[in-house]
Amino acid sequence: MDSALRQSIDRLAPIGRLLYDRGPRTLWERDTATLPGYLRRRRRAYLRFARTCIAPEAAEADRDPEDYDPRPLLLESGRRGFQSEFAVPPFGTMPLLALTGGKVLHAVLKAEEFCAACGGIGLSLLAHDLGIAPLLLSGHLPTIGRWLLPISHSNRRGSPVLAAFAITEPSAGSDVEESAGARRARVVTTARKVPGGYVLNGQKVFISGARHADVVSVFAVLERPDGTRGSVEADFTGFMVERDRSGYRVGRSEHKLGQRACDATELFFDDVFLPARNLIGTERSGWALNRNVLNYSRLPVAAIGLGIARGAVEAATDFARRTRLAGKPLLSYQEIQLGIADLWMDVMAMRGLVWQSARRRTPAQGVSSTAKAFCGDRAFAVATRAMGLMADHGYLTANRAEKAMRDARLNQIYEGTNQINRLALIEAIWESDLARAPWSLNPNVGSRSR
Amino acid sequence: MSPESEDLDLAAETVRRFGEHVQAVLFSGDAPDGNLDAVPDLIAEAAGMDILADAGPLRAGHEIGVWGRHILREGCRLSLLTLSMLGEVCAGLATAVHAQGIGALALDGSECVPSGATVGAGFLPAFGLALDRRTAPDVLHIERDAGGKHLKGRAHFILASGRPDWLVCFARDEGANGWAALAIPASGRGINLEQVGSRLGLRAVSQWHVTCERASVADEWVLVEGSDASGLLSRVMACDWLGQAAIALGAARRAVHDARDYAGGRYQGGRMIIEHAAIRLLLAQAEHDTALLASVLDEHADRPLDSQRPEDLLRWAIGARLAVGEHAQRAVTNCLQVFGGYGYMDDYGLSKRLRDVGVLASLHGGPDQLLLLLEDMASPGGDR
Repeated sequence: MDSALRQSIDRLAPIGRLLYDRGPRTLWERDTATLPGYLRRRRRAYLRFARTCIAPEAAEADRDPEDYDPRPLLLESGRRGFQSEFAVPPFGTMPLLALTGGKVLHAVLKAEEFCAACGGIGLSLLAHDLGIAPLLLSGHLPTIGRWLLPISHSNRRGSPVLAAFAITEPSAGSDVEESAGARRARVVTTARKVPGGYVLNGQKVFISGARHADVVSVFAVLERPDGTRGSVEADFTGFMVERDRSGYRVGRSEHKLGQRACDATELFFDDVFLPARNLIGTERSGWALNRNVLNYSRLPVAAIGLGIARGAVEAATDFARRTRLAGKPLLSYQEIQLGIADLWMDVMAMRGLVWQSARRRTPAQGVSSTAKAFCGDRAFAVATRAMGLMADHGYLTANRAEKAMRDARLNQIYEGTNQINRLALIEAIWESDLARAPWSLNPNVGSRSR
Repeated sequence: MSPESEDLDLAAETVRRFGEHVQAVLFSGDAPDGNLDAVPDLIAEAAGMDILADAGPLRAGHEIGVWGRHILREGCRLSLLTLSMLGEVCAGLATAVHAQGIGALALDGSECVPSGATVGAGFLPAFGLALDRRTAPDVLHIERDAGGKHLKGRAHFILASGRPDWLVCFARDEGANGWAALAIPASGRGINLEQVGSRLGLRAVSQWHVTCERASVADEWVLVEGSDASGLLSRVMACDWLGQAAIALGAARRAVHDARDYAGGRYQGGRMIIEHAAIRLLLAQAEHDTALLASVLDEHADRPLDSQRPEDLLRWAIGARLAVGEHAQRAVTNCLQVFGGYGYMDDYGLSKRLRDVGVLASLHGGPDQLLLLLEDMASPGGDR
């Protein structure tokens, strides 16, 4: 704030001065100040961890993902309580007060901070949360007691048990993420009931974090009692599969454009016997469970996009601050200021949507899908624009914007392509807002309907 | 005079055969950017087929290679066609061919550089464009003293088909009333070449920063001075951007082709994905974007360069390069989306195309810099 304006404010009446925000705080601090105290502390803790532990490893993990071992960081993240935030103490480290408000608000804060430092490492830390989400969302106490609590205890004790979430198949990606596709999906992973449990066969692809996962939550179509093939909608069922199960095989990890620190791996199931205790929740409840996992997970995925976009903006801002043109910092040129302002505005809008969506008690399909698709699209646009602002320096790896662009592109694809998420929004509001027209621009029609 | 269509067909056939060879040699393995060790041999083969411009007048490539002397009389169509066809195969290799052409073009017909030499053109300051008045203090410049002329300063992001043997540098020269263009041996005293670090894409072309520390300039190395030099610089920058746009067009066309193929063979949601409106919209937008870029490039493709004012050429080129960011990038990213998760993996080549057009959208000038230059030229007295 310049001195003339400061003096002018000082001449305002006392109440007028109080109404004028003069804080020198950063945008980050201003947003943090709007959070309740327990989340303010947590957001700062996520930021510290991201800056001190994730950022230093980001470049190397992106350059050489084959040799990147996420376990040390997972161990440290678990030690700080970041890997067991799905349940409140004594079962987990979720803030107690989160029960009264948005249950994923802390998760979106974490996703933004981690992914502002590195989208790939951030994803590798968050993939575990996705892997255990079906356990919690099944609401099935025996499942929670058998699986979730031991995993939580291990992670806090310093011997991390990593989980991954497996739905996607070679011929069924987006199909199993929306209703119309599910009716005709070609899911090849099937389960057959046998004495004492189930036998699993099939294949999953692009599974985030599966290379290092100790347990995987797998969705399969359960054979019907008459021996006929089931459907996704009626017979989808979740199972926990441990890494050492006979017939379970971890295949190749894909070479991908971005978010490279987190593997996307094939899994094979060849007559894998699973005892009945490995069932997640109840038989044939998998379609609803799968959909609800997506309702919950799409908000952190939106926040991953937000974090990656913020990383790109910070990279561009940093570049404009330290680069000089004709003896002046780039940041002092109006065209650069306009561009940087565009980037920050996008990030602020994304954060507003994500936080607002995550404040709901229960994530809803339409809201989560909207946040996911919007932030995925904007993140890619922001990172691309950040590169353009930096001109030739934008495509250089050292300046970080190109990595953000590569990382952001995945957010338009995974957790349902953004086309599927748009259709998920339509599906979610079809009955309430679209098909029956609860409002009208014509006041006469509106008054009659009321 | 436009090139005869039979000549163009013949040239296109030569480029097509070379492109097939490049595809087989570069992409037989798993490396997403291809077997980069094979690039020098491929460049040599392009020279042998006269696709590559040659600095010396004795080789046919000097005349008919990409950005060879024929463009002065016949326009850019052949060069743009060649680069877009090579861009369909590998944008990086296409850029290497393009870079040699730009280096040869910058020589402006001079015979001071031997045939077969790899030439790079240096005209970029650390940030901004050479023609932007604000960047003037940051570009290469010539100093004169009792010992003669010396070149000082740095030029950035110089493209070359390999390590350059010669550099054509555009330097500020107050003694010559503005600009001077000069060819200097890259191994000369006071000349230091440094490879640009790891980058997003176009990995088959090499890229350099050059530092000149009182490098002596022989009189015979000075190509042109004053307004002739600034005109040549405009021409070089324009052809550089046009070539980049043509390469991006090729990459986008290939992406559309591959996406259409994939959509016709992939079954999802009970139907081939080509039957889903979401996929058809992505493909239609990509086709539309590609057609727009092609139409921009086509606009003056048959006009001899000798008949175009440098500022008109620049306006055309800026329009084409801006279309890379707006249309080629969107075409490629939409095509990648058609593949879903597979598009994000290296196996299908879409991720490489996205990386390559990502570089082409900012190469030798970001979009805002290009827009400001366009506006600068439109302002009264702004033509240069």
